[in-house]
Amino acid sequence: MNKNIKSILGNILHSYYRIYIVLLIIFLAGILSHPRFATSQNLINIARQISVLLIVSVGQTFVILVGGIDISVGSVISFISVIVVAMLLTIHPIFSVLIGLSLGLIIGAVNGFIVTKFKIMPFLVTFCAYIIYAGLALFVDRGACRNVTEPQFINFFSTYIFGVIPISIFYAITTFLIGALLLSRSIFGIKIYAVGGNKEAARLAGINVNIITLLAYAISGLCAALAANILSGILKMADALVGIGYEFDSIAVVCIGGTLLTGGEGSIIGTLGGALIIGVIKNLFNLYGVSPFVQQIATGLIILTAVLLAQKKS
Amino acid sequence: MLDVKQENNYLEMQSIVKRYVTTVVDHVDFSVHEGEIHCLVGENGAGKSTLIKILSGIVQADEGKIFIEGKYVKIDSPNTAHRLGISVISQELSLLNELTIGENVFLGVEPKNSIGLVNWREVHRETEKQIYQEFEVKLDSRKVVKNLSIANKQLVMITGALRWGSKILILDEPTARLSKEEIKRLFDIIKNFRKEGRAIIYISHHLEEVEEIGDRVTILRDGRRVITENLKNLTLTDISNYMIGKTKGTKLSSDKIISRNRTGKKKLLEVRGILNEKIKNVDFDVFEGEILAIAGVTGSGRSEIARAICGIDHRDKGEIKLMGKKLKIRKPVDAIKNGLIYVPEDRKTQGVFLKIPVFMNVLLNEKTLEDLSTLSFYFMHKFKSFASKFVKLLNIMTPSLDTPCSNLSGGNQQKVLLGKWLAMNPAVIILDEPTRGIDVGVKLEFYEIINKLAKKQNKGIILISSELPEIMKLADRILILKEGKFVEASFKEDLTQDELFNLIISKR
Amino acid sequence: MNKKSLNLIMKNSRDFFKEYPIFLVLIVLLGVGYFFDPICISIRNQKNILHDISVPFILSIGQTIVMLTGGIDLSFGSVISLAGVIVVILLPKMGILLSIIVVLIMGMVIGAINGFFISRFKILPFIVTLSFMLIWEGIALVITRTQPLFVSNPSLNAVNYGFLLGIIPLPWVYGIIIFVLGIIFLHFHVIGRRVYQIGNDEEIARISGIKVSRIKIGVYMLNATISAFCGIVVASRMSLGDPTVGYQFLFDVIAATCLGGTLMSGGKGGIIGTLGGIFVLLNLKNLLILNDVSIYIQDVIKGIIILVSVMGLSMRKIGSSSG
Repeated sequence: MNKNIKSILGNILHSYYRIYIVLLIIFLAGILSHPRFATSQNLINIARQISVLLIVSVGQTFVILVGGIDISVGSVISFISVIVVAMLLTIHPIFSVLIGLSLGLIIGAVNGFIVTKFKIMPFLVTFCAYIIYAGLALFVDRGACRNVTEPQFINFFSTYIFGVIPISIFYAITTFLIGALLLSRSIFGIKIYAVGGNKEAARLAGINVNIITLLAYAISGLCAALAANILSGILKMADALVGIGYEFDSIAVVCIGGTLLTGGEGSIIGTLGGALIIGVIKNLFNLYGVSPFVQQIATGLIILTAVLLAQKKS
Repeated sequence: MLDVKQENNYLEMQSIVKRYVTTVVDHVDFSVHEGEIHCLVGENGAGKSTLIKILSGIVQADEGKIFIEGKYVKIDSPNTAHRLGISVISQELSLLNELTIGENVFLGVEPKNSIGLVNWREVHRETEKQIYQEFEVKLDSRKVVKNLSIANKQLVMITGALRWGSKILILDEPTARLSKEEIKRLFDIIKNFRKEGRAIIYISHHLEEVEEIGDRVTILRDGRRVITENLKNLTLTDISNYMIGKTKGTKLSSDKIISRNRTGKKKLLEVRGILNEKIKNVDFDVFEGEILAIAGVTGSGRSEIARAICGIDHRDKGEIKLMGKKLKIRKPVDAIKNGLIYVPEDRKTQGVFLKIPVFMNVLLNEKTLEDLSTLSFYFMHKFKSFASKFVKLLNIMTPSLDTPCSNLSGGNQQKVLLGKWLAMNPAVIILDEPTRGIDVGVKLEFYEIINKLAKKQNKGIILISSELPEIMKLADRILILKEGKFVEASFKEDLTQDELFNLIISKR
Repeated sequence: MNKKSLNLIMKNSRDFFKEYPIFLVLIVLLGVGYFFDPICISIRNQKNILHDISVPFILSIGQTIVMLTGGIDLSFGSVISLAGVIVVILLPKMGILLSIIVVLIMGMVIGAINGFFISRFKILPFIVTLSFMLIWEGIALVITRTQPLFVSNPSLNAVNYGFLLGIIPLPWVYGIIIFVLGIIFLHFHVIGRRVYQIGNDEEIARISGIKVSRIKIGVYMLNATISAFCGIVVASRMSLGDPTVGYQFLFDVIAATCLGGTLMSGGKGGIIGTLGGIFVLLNLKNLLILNDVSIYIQDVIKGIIILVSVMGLSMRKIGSSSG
């Protein structure tokens, strides 16, 4: 067992050291340059923001590994936030959350179904989904911003462990570990890499390519729903705009993490590294008061650079 | 057949060498005169297609020089080849499908005015005129290419080559899907080209065609040029002899003759009435412990039969029984779960996952994954130890079990593929050109493995192969697929390799 | 009208609708609309639609040309926003003519950058243009500090509100000119044909000596320049430079192009179909407005319709290619 762990760690360090070196550099730069960076308050902030991003990126990793992409996650997050928060007024929080999660799963599955059954480009399908769910979110919420006051809900998603560590980190780590377990130790994970790597060979090997693809999208939807709930808990409110930007950020995270957009290659560990990098960079931007729009420019540049570097490597 | 004058060579290829794992083209000289139809002939793997790829710029030679009209040329891309006047008319109909005949014919040479507007009237008028004059066929140049018959698509490609002004025309198995009249028409067209002074390279395994149309023939074997001779001076037998070389006298292995006594052997696989758009009603049986070879010319449909049986391609009709039990096979996983395995010809696109480690590749199929997993999860050590058994068995050369398959040589990749299918413990294995592109040493290893699978493990093996020595070495029975139907070849006790060869290529 | 010419008309119509099924959809849509509210096919109503159609239509023409090569350009919305902002900033300093020229050049440069990343580095068009969509919009937002820039300039006004010969609104003129030029370009000009040829099979085109990279860069430059131009028109219409104005066109333009039968894989389709697509989309929007459907649900319905029609087109393709 010890040998196993050693070999796994060795594998990680060997392949992903570049990402973690970049992370280290940026982290050090942050500590050295801004006085407030290394405070516990700030680190907790970073952790919370990364939590939501990481969860969405885990879902996006599955979809990209299988050769697709999910642009709808941002709108799905908004949509589910709004619905869950509306439900909290009348339905017990546990059921609201469960309904929200199921909804995310179904939305993802529908996306996956259309992509596989009708053989339409994933970009187009999830782009339409993006518009549809954004519209639905706005419709349900009618521009109003709803506050969350339900204590159980807030507690569940926004409390602190040992008084210091936000619970969202725990959710994020759990999601990441489940994702990592699935991708590296389960038969399902093997099939995901197979389908993304060589669809025809996977079919010949008896793998049900359509089901695997559909499940990848369903996972992405589920992750979006989980992220939506946590976000509502943290922000203590929900409106139709909460999810904006997560689609691009999650794609950036996955690209930085070394997963190729063509599918079949990459690892969720890279995604973790990517999420940490983006999270730290965003935090530094905020500390320096960099406008969110410059941050947007940065996101675009980061995606471009990450894809360029990944292309050059292969 | 014309008496070919000793003119200067229009095209001259000197001492061309191309190496992959083995030397695929070994110091081959090849030249063509103006106004000549020069046939290029050889068995699969003899080097013909690589030589042509070098000439058309798809691949670069490792050694050797090419001259056109006495001038040295460097053909470094298909673009360059095209500019030099080399056109290939091959099986892959390379046309722009959604565009019109005229546009395809005039691709790159459209008549345009000073501001760049294309004169479509001229395009279509000239195209129709040319097609009518050259081929005596009336086609509407404004029609989209997509819906044409294969013969007509070929005409469009040829017209395009002529319009471009290609002087060197390479025709690669052009008669594969043509009717008798269409073939006759094609031959008239080719003879016309000869009159026009073009240099024509005609590649075909139909030796009667070669005899009918060719002026000279160059025969390749094992990457080397065996002979270049005027077709007047050769008979068909001579040609086939040169193609298969010294082994013309080889008979079937004597131990095979003994094992061909099938009394007491169980029928493993029974295939009846397989029918789809590519196969016409095929029946055959495979017995326990036998190696059944399926021979036939390229494109005869052997792979298609295998794919139809194993659920990869759709099948309209047909019954498949394994050990007496009727099987319901609709998709690949049905065949796999029942122990009926197809090992594809094209390992890159159809079999091997290049980015995935070796040990995982060996196990990557629905059945093995299920068998080895616990509640859908797996333990790395269990996986690796299982896979390493096959790595050892097949002597797969790999730096480690974790190496991605892309780092392995072709032969070892093929072994990984075989290992994957073996790991499923199948009852019947269909091997489609299993040793193509693999060097001699590994080939012999494969033969040993195949023999062991049949004789020791009593599996039924269907061997689809174009390499006659391989068939002669391994087969218990030989079926030849001719125009969609099977003909038994091994009825003769002392069948020789060249007899087999003649049986395969003869039209009846 | 004798029988022979009637037959000819019928045959040509059948061929036309077979080639461009979107027009059938348009007729059905108008029929359904009429059922709900007869006003919708009134001249006044259609005139309203035509009022709004110019910019989306022109943008769709540019996008169609890009898609015909097998690519896509998601950054055009941001280019519109950025162009509008820049022209408003430059106007007081450089005057109308120079400002427009500078903005158009900016469009060409942006397009060249897109094309460069796509053809030289061989990165998927959608990820390149997605990234630049974020970048250009970000720049516009930073320049304007998110507030739209108001302007009051009669010359700029004229771009959108002027009339040709006193009666034809200039936006219509732009639309007609670009449409006609587009048709001539795509069907009669050799470079326009290259666009189709590359979309059909890049390799075959390359072998025939066609400079594929150059043409690909060219179409992205064309689309960006067209988008920049539309940015100026939009700024003129609203008399302000709004850094997020372009976003609203994203969906309609891509939808219209796909609905019009231009395949995302390239090589097939064209701007006639796109014309049909734009009309369908705008009539749909109009219908929904007339029936008081909430604007959010309008988006939802649009999204569903696009999805359904692409699914339909795909089924048609799957059905015909399985032979």
